[in-house]
Amino acid sequence: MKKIKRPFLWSIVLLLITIFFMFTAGLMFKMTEIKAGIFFTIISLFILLIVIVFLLPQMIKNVIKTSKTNIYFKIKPLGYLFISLIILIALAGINTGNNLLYLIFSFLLSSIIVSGIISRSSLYKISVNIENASDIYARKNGEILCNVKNKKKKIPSFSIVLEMKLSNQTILLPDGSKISKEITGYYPYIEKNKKIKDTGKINFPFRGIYKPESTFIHTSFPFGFFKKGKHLPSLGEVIVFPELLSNEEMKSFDVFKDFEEETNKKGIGTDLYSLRKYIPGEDTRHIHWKSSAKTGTLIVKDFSEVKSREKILIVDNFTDKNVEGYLWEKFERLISILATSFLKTRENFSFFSFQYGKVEKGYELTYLSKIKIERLRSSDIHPINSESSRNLMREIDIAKTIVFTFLNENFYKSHNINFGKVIEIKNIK
Amino acid sequence: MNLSNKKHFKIILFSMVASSYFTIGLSGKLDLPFNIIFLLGIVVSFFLNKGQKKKEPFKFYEMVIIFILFFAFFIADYLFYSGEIILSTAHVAILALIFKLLTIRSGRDYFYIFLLTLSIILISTTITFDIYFLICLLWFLISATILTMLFEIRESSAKINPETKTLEYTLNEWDTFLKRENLKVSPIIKMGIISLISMATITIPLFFTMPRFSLSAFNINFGMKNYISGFSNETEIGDVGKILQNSKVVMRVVANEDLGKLLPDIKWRGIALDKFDGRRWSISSKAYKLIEKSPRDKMFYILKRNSREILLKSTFYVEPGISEVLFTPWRPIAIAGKFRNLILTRTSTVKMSTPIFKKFKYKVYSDIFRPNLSELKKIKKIDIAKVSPSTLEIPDYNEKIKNLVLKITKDKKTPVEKVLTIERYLKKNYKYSLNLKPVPKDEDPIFNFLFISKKGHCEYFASAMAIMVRYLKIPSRLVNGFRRGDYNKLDGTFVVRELHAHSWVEIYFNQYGWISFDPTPATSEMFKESFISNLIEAITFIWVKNVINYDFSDQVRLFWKIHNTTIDYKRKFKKLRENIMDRLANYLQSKIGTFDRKINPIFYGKKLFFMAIILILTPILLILAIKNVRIKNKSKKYQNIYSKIMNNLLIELKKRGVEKKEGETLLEFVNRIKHKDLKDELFNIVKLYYEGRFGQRDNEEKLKQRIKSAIKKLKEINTL
Repeated sequence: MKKIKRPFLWSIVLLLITIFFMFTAGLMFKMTEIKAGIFFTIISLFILLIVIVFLLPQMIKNVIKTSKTNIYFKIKPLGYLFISLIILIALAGINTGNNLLYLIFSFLLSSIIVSGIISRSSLYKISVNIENASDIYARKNGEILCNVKNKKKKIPSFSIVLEMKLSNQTILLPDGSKISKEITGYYPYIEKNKKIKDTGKINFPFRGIYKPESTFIHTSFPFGFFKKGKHLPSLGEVIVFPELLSNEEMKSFDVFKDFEEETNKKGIGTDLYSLRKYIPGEDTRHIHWKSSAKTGTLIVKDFSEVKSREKILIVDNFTDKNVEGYLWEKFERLISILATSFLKTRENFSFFSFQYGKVEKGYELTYLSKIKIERLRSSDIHPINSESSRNLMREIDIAKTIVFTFLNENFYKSHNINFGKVIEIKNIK
Repeated sequence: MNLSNKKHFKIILFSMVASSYFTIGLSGKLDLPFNIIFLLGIVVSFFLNKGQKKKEPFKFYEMVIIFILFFAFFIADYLFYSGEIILSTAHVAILALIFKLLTIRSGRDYFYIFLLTLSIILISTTITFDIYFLICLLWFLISATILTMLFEIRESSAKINPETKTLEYTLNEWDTFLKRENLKVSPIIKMGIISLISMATITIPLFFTMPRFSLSAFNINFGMKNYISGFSNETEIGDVGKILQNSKVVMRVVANEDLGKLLPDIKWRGIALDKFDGRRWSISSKAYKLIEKSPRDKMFYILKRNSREILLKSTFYVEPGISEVLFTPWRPIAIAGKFRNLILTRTSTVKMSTPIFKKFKYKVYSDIFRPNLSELKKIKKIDIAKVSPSTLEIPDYNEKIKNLVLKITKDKKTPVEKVLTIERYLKKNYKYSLNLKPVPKDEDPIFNFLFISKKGHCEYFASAMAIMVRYLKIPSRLVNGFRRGDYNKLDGTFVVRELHAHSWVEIYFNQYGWISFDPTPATSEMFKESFISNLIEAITFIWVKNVINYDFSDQVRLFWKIHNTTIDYKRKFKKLRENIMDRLANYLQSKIGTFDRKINPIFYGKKLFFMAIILILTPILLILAIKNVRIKNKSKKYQNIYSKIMNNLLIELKKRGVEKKEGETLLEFVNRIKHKDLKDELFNIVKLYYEGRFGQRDNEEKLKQRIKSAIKKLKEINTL
């Protein structure tokens, strides 16, 4: 509105000045001061020109811009019936000249106008925003929160139908088609300046970030004769975590098992690993006094190594080949396995990404939801080559890292990086 | 009041139906059996309706059977019961409405109920013209508006497809939802009232400006073929008396403002009857003159104009079913109205050639000049050659009456004195009464009135005088019409009711024609006026005048009025402008003296510095205006320019195989580039870009330069 108001006010000011000069010019002509008259006429015309050249186009442009709302309009079957009724009454009125028929006809006609105004005002200044109401896992019922806000300060909205298409921004199906989900909502009454927080149960088939592709609201209020709709800017997103697998499904996956055995050695943990003789210079806090008293020699405790249980996982989502359907499915399965395993023993996993670096604690599932297969242009520009990746890899224990990759196991060795374990995605059962 | 309560929906539904009952019921045209059927139907269905038990809607063949049954009923009703298409239609609509109310099966049935209710209201428009219709219409509209709103909400909530629907309401959960949202019915009622007010606001100008035609291709007159008694070609003594106790409004008359003062005893002349057969008055000659509309001014010219005329303009708004006679002040000169032709009888009675069975209006220009007594006294003998012999006929010649007439007029010499004496005699010696014993069939009612009962109402007085005058060989005739009526101060109309019906006498005075005399003594007011009754009358008159009788001529008048008003404003504006110019000129004159000076005062006058100030201020204001409007969009402009420049660079890089990924920030992207020099260069460029675009620093030129050099570098480097 401000964009329209400002040039408008300036135009008014300038036009007033123009009028004043025109008056003066008229006066001068009346006083037979022709030269002065011409002078003032030229000035007023000049100001008028400025208004026409600079302010008017600005105003028109802004008016068009603000009024450009893609309003959708449709006459419903009842509407057709109603219109034919109006025509019938109009014909009867014209034929008989009966003023009462004219009165009813005018009333019905004005009801169309009023219905247009009311439905338009119902749709005006409504915003819809979507978000997670709880954690949502793929193929499991979750809850989303839809905030429908009536930003009008004076007028309530009635009977708003919301049709929203959420599309998955993270993954595409192997055939390249989009994954989307349609949701609908109905809001009979939204008070002025109020927000309705609407939660709904929802089941998404795939993980990922879902964003509204289209947000369409429509209403048939007040009389149900016409349907008016409007596309809104799409706001908000829903994060859908990977599908969680059942225990049985998880049993068949044994990657972590043998990895655990290998890393079962002493370290600085809290669980007792073994007792042995004290070597001078060792931390005296670790002396096991009970055993020392029994045996008469200083006995120290050895603790099992905690780090040995912590697994650093890297999902190398870069590939140099086209991902075929079966590989795509394996990748999705891998993500589900990782998510399920992570949820079971939260503290034992930490994720690392070639793209984002170390995944912060608490964001693991979000990371797993967002991760997508990336196509490499050539193996040379694999992110492993980047300085930042190398820097970050220095911080982690490469020997204790499991990498899941589309690439060949030797790819990392050729770059002189020896991960603890490299599992090719195609080998996952 | 919670919306989830289905009772409210039901109450509003039945309120709408009830409005249609009152619309048609109050018209008085619905007979008793259907009144009972309609009312009972509404009451029974109200108690049987227990909310929406979902049933299967009717199947097609069931619908066909129902339709055939209703159609058969319509035919039977028309042929054997009502005999009127409109009434039969009303009967069928009422039955269909009750049937629908009793068998509500689907959501659409509510719409059918709405349609049937509306159709009953539409039927009512053809049989009622009263103001109560407006009240019922408003009642219907408010109920229908709220009902359709509630219905729409119901339907929309039901239509949300349960398959694709993920948010939690379905039709079954309607109640839960409404309870959860605590949706009250009051906002919808409020909205209903607001929309009704807005509709009314739009309706009023629409109604008055909509083009009016009356094609009359298919016109039905609803059974109002009985006029009130006393105004037909043959009237028995006592016919007018029959309606004297009814207070029903017959017509409303608007005349010149001071008419009340000028002519307190003005009468609206209806039919004049010249032949009396002892009991019945009638018109002696069936011959008439057909008066056509004057092509010049669309007026009907009735009687010739006199040189000494006093013209009175009056407008009559007549209720339906009164008479085919047009009431006018004596003597009618011209009439304007929507008539095909008019008929003028030998007794100067004006009638419509084709009757109108609805409310109508007409305008009359009458000559109300009446010669004074001294002028009439100059007439020594009435010239009876020019009048019809029937105006002198005495059916039951009675010596006793003759003796009485001669006795009371023996001292009087001129005819007018004799006439006035008889008038005065009757007024003085006879009593006005509406409680009369019926006159035996074999007895002369005039004789009975004069010598036996000695009391009666206007008809007896007028008839007695007319006959008595005839004994003196003076032509006379009886006139039936209406007295002036009650003057309503609120709107300046005369409200004429049935009780104002009146009879008087017209007597022939050679060159002056027929002059009226009224022998009836003054009666006390029979209709008691009050402020409230006057107010109701005033409102009713607004309705009658502006809605019912609104026509093309009124429309033309309205447009002219608007036209004149705009012209008036134009004139006012012109005057204002001239005024301002004059004042300015005067002011300038006072400041710089006379204008006759040869030196141009604008350029040389020192006193004109205020002009200079304005001249200086104007460019400043202009610059400010342009700048202000431009600054507003500056950030946007920068945004566009910088994005454009940056895009060029990105395209250039893409050509060389380095593509910025979606979602990747510029810095991330630059980080990916291996070539060290280029990378540094690009880092600087991104910095300039960010500063320019978001920091609103004017880096445009710098950025362009940098990008140029970067592109140059790109060309040097073969591989990235």
